[in-house]
Amino acid sequence: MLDAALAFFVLGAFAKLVNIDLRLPAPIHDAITAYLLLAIGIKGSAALVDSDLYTLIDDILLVLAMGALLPLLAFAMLRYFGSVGQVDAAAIAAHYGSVSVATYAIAVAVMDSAAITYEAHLPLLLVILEVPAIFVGLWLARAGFLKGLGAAGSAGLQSHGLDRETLREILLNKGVVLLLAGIAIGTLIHGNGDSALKAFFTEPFKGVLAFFLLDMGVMAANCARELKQRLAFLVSFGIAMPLLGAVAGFATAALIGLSAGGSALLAVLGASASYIAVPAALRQALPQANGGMAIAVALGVTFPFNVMVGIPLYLHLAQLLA
Amino acid sequence: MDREAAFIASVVATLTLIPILLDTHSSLTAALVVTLSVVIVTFIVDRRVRRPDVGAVQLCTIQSQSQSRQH
Repeated sequence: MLDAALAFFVLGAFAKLVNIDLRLPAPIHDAITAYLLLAIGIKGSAALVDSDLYTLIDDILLVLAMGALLPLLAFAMLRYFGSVGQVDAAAIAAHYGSVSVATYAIAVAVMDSAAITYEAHLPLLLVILEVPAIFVGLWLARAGFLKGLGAAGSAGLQSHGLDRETLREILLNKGVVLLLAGIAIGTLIHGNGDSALKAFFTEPFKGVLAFFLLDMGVMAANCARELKQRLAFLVSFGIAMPLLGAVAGFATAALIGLSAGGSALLAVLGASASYIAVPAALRQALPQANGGMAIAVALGVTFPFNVMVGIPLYLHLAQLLA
Repeated sequence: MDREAAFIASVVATLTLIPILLDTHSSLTAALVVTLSVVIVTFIVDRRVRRPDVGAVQLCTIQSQSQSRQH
C-alpha cells in the first residue's frame, strides 16, 4: 500500500503535469523546511542525552569515508558512461555524495508508521554526510581526477575556490545549522522533560511532511521538464546512482554494526542526493557548473525514485539482510 | 553498443530483476514497473529526438562526397 503522505507527492507532480499550480508560497516552504530540520534534530537527540559521543567516532569516520567515496563513484560513472564534461560531472557528483533531508524525513515517517526502530544518532550522521561530498566535488572539478575516463575535457575551468564565503556556505548552511540546533535544543527538551515542545516537534511531523511533499511533487515535475538534453542517460544515472549509494550505505552500516532500521536509514542517506545545501555551496564555489542539470537529475529523477521505489526497497533489503 | 547505451540497458535490466530477486509485495513491483516504463519511454524518446541530427550529419556527408566526386 502506498504511504498516505506519498499520495501528496503524487498529487503535486500530477497537478504540475496538467498545469494546475499547487506550489506553496516560498516563505511557507521555507518555514516547513525549517520545522522538518529542527524536528529531525530534536527527534534524534533523545538517545544522545545519555550517550558518550566518543563511542561514535568510529561511526563518524566510516560515514565520512562513505561521503567521500560516493561522489568519486558518481563522477566516474558520469565521465565514463555519459562523457559528461569534467566540471558538470564534478558538480553532479557533489550532489550525489551529499544527502537529502526530505528523503530522510520520509524514510523516518515510513519507519515510524511501521514501528521499525533505528539508532538515534542517525541525524548526526545525516549532518556529517552533508559536507565531505562538496569538498570532493570541488577537488574533482579542479584536479582532473580520472582524466582519461571521458571524452570531454576541463577547458575553461575557473573556480572561485575555497574562499571564506564558500567555506561558510559549506559548513554553516541553513540546513546544517538547523539540524545541529535541533540536536542541541533537543537534548535540553529531553533533559528537562518539556513535553509541550516535544509534542509540537513530534506529533504534527507526518502532517507537515505531507504538506511539504505536495510542494516537492510540484518541484520534481518542474525539474523533470528541464531534463531535455541527455534525457535517457541522466534518467538512468538518476536511478542507478541511488541503488549504488544504497549498497554503499548497507556496507557502511554492516561495518558500523547498525540494526536493520539503522541500515535502511543509512542506505537511504547513501541513496539520496542533495538539492538544497550543495547547489547553494556550488553556486558560490563553482559558478561554471551547470547547476540546473544537477538539480534536475537530483530532484526530477532521484527524489521521486527514492520516494516511490527506493525507500520500500531499502527497507525490504535491510530486513532480508538482518 | 556504445558505453551510454550499455549503461542504460544495464539499468533497465537491474530494474527488471529487482522484483524477481526480492519476491516483493505488489505495490513495490508496480512502482518498479512504472519506473522501468519511464526509463524505456525516455530512452525511445531520446533516441527519436537525436535521430534527425544523425540523419542530417549523414546527409551532409553524402552531399559533400558527391560534390567532391563531381569536382
